Amino acid sequence: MKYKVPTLFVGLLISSFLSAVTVSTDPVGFITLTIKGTDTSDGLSAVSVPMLSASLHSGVVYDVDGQTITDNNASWSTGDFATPDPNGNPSHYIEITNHSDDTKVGLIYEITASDGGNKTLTIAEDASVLNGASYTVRKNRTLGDIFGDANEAGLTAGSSSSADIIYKVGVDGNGSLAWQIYYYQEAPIFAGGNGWRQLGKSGSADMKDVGVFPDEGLIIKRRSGSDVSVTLTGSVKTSNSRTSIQTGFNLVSLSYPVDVSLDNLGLYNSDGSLLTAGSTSTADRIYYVNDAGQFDIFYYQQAPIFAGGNGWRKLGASASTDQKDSIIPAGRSIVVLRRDTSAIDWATNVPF
Amino acid sequence: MTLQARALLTLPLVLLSSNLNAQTVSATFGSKYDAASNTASIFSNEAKVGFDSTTTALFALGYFNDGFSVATEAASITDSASLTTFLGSFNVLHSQSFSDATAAGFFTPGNSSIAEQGAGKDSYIMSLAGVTSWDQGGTASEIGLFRDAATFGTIPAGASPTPADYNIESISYDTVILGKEYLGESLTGAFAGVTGNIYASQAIGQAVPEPSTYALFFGIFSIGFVYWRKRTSKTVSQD
Repeated sequence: MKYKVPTLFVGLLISSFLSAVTVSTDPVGFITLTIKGTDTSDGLSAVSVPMLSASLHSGVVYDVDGQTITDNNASWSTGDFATPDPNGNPSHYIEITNHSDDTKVGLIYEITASDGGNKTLTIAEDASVLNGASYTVRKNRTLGDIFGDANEAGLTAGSSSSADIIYKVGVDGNGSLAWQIYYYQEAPIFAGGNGWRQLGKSGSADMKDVGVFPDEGLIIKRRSGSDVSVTLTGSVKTSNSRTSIQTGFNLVSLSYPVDVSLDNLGLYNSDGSLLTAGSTSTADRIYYVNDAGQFDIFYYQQAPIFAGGNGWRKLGASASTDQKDSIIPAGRSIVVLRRDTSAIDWATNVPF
Repeated sequence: MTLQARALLTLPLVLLSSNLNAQTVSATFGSKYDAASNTASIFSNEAKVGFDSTTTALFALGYFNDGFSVATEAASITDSASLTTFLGSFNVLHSQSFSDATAAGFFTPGNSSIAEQGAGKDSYIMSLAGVTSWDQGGTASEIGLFRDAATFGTIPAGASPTPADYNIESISYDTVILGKEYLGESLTGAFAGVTGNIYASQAIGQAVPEPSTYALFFGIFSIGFVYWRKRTSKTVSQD
């Protein structure tokens, strides 16, 4: 695949390839995300967090039993990696970095428990396919370490009705997936004090440790003011990525800190195994927040010549204008609308 | 459950009722091609010449003010002044020139960031011949006004952060308030082999016949109409 060298990503600094059983030194770097202000746009931004937390352990799965994997070279203690975030979600995950079956490389599994004595990790689903796989343990990035525990990024703080908003997807009280809304509260102690808060929860519940998984995107709405820059440092992913696109709206990150064109996203191929092609009303869609803070909606059109022919198209633009070279800049996330009831497996190879 | 299954969310389109963010709608409307029936909907002028960058026209999606009697007021459009008055009661969600038509008369305009307005109201699509922007609407030479209840429903409330989808392009329209409908036309040129449902505008000032008038005239002109269809269908196909 061909990728455009990003303007935001400065570079890989150190490389030490993963070995089977040792803690590795990741390539590290940084990226600067631009959160659009309202003076130059509608104030909407969709971002990815392609700089990962450091690897805490790399190893090989020697055995599996149900949802448990065993690593004979494990060095963790019981309870490590198993502390939930403020919403009760796992805070750590394993990422499959090598596997005899290429379709397993890039899969991510949440860690729900750990046992230092037995050298096991329990993950959130069946682990039987993971025997022999190489993996890495990482902690999720959090709202606090992305935007600063005390909002050092400089988003507008205030009440839920005045502060900038961070949209994230989570589970609501009924178990349904829904938008969650976070903001940095600035308030007297009796009103909950300062800190990251979630709309609908206690005004004093600290949400700075809410996790952002590497394949999750965030949408940020600034209510006023100018652009805000957020510089993220961290590890660069050096293995392939894999993301499941489910029926409905999927807010997904781009795994690598590089610009990528629609044509090179890897979300469409002509055999029909990825996004569905069709018309504006039948094709799957990619929603991308542009620099004006508005959504551009792309879809892969399949139509006769008089209706614009085949190819990537943008809603509202001429249906015959090819959009395949439209760029999703590094550090952005996208929303994918999958209309079909079947999920698709979106694989992305390391672009560098 | 994998992270993907948990976090990469099958996200329902949640309509946030709070005032946290501007609620928006994405809309597409106009022409549609149905591969199963090999039929396309096409928009033209009164002479059945499809609109495009040469035969200019504006396509608009919108709704009328409360209490506005659409059929009655449409029938009273006799000149530029009455057209301007009529358009003044039409609230435009989105308008776009036919210059982006992919073939003469085949056009599906859209906008992904329409601020919420008119939620719950009936929407209409309007063609205005001879103009390319809404502020020129009063000088249009022809007007078409169409609706399809089953497809259009009512305008949805906006949503955020992703816009609510209002996707109403249609093969046919069950209500032709201004203009004329020609169903099942055999097309040529770029549309060769395709069946066309043509939605033509009508000249400003042309009376809108009552349904009973159509019935009265139908028998008289039916033979001539068939002949006219055959003669003019080639015109629509020009591109």
